[in-house]
Amino acid sequence: MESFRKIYSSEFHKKFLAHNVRPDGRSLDDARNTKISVNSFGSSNGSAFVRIGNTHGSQKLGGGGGDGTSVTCAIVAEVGPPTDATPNGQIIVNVEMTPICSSRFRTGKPTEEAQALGHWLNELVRSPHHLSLEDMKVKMTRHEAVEDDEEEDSLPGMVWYLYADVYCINHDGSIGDAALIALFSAIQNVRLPQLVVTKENQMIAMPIDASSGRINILHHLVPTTFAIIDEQVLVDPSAEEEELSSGLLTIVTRSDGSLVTIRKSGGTSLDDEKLKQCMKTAAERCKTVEKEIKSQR
Amino acid sequence: MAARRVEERYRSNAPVTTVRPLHHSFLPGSQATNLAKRDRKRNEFRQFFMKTGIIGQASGSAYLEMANTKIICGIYGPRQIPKMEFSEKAKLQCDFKFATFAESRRERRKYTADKEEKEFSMLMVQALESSLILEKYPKSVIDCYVIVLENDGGALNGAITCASMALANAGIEMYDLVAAASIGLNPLNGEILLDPTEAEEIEYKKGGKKGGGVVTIGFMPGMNEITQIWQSGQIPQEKWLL
Amino acid sequence: MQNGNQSLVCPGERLGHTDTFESGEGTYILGNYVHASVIGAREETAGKDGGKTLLSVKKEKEPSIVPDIKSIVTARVTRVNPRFVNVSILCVGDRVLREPFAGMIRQQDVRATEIDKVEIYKCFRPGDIVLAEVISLGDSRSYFLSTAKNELGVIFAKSVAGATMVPTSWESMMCPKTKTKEFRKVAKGASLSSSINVNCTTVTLLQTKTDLLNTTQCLRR
Repeated sequence: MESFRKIYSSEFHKKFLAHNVRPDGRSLDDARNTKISVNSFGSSNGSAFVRIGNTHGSQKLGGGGGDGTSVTCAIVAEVGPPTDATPNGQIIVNVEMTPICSSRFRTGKPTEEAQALGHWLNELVRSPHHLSLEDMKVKMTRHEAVEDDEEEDSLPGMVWYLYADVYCINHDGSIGDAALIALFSAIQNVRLPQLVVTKENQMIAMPIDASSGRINILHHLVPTTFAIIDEQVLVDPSAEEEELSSGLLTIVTRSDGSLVTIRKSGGTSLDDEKLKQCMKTAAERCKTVEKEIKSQR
Repeated sequence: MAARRVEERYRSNAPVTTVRPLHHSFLPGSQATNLAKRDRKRNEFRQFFMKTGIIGQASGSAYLEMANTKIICGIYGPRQIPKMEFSEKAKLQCDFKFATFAESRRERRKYTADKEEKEFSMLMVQALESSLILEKYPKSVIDCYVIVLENDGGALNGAITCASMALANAGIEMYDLVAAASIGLNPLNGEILLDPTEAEEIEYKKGGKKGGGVVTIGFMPGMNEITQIWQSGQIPQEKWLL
Repeated sequence: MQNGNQSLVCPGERLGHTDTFESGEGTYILGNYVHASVIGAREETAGKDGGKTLLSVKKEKEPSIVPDIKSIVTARVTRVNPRFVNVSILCVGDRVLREPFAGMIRQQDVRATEIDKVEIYKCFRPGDIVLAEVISLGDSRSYFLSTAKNELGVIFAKSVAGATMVPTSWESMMCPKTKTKEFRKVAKGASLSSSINVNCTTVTLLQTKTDLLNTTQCLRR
């Protein structure tokens, strides 16, 4: 059974798809559950852990994956001077697909897949339509011990640069979905501390309290990936299904119902009817996932 | 500098040089409070949480949590040696990495392994190699990847324990599990403490009148053998006799 | 993890004295004791004619395996040249490898008779699935495999037209679409695809059942 799956994986899947089911028991338009937990890493300014599929942690026997994608994203805030292009600071996203998440990756420079995904996330997150960085001015004060009666020397106007690092823990398909959900959940939970400047001009971050700043998210973005296998469209594919597919389609929708991006790879064509159906599915999934993200505040 | 540039080529960067604000424990005059904070007995471990089989793509995996220290480990293999070399037994390769955001008391870690991480990788191989029955897997390599998602002290000993669990989870035959622990010597009063946190580790390594340092020990409980001892800082001779 | 009455052991655990027990799979001997080398359930098998009891530990999970001498492997042909074919080993016995190992079938190991007359191109093509036996750990690069037995050889091949071919003799296969014959070193009897041709509906039923179980478990929590 397992060896049949390995050797003739396309035949194996076709047998299931002919009955409109998938080997893991899902129907074609059935997305896996998404589970988010936030701020698990106290060493960062905001973090999120996202798991798609296998959300109740049951261990499936045998090889062949099919056990859910997991991704963690954590944000570290650093301080720097504003530039013309970034008057309000910036979010810098990097995706790390380390060899821990799949046997496809090896140590060394990031794969093209990771670089491309990182670039895509950067574009989305830097667009002014979804996030507002205007509240991101750094609040600085002098350390009390130093404060004399002399003129309060002006502290330079600084802005926050947020390094968001997405670490892929388990790669079981639809990694872009998990990464974007993790990124937005982490951004939503970023707390920016007050800074104190010491006599030696060192900046020290004070503990987080009620006055710590947050980032204003205008709209949550929720992506949904589809795999195209022989005329059939599968929602939220697993790694095995992605491997077999002739093309992938990612649709990003916004919480207000509007469409943000469509990214389609592969040379296969997809007719209007199916594309519309995909957009509908994506919009529906957006609602459930957004609810999950917002509940994690 | 060259290494930094290579790293930057493949990643997104801020347009300007940025600085990470220091952790609030670095406010002047807080060494004493950092050390006084310990909320458990000196021979008490922090609370443990362990789970195996969390990375489905790997042949074995484990997650370990010691209060705020969070470590994840995945085992791949036994698989073919990528380099062409013939060996009668398997080779164990460890790759230890801190996540860039793992530590709150220092600047962000680099994406590529720095010297400390390379040293830890080597120490892990030393600590684990002797526990495995490598002769069972000729011509192959066992890859052990560790990511420290958050470090609040005890990253190395946690990584060794976690990796040993993951190896057992992968079904790789071994002589014994390896459990590792660290102890610290408080430079202010010469006390020996079990399982120091990150803040304590930093202060211990700075040292003082009475020495100060951290010792990590890898131990095979079933065979009653020590696989590794690693010490940093300086510990006076008479303390060793305890 | 397992129910309580099974005794679960961990690597390094001392299982018994060598005077009464013999070391089986998943165990090793150190000094005078048998120890476990994997996580799993302890198993005792009575020894033959009053000998020592065989102690073994049955692994909880599919154990990690590597190809060994004499094991039968399933492999995919990756490259063919006049002297040998390169294959990547996918399964050892009925266990699936997570990652392939490289193997090689040399000209002299293709069949048992008329070794020097073997024409590799008439035996294998890239993409074929082959059943073979490991004859040695080989060189630094690959394991050496042999198909010099009746039941070893090509078990699955696609024709030029892209259809799955049917064996017609021990050295040829026919394409059901175009009825052309192609030469292969065919394995006798066992056509893998038919033997593991699973009834899809039962699989589906099974899957839905486990899924239902999972959901109910989740709900109960």
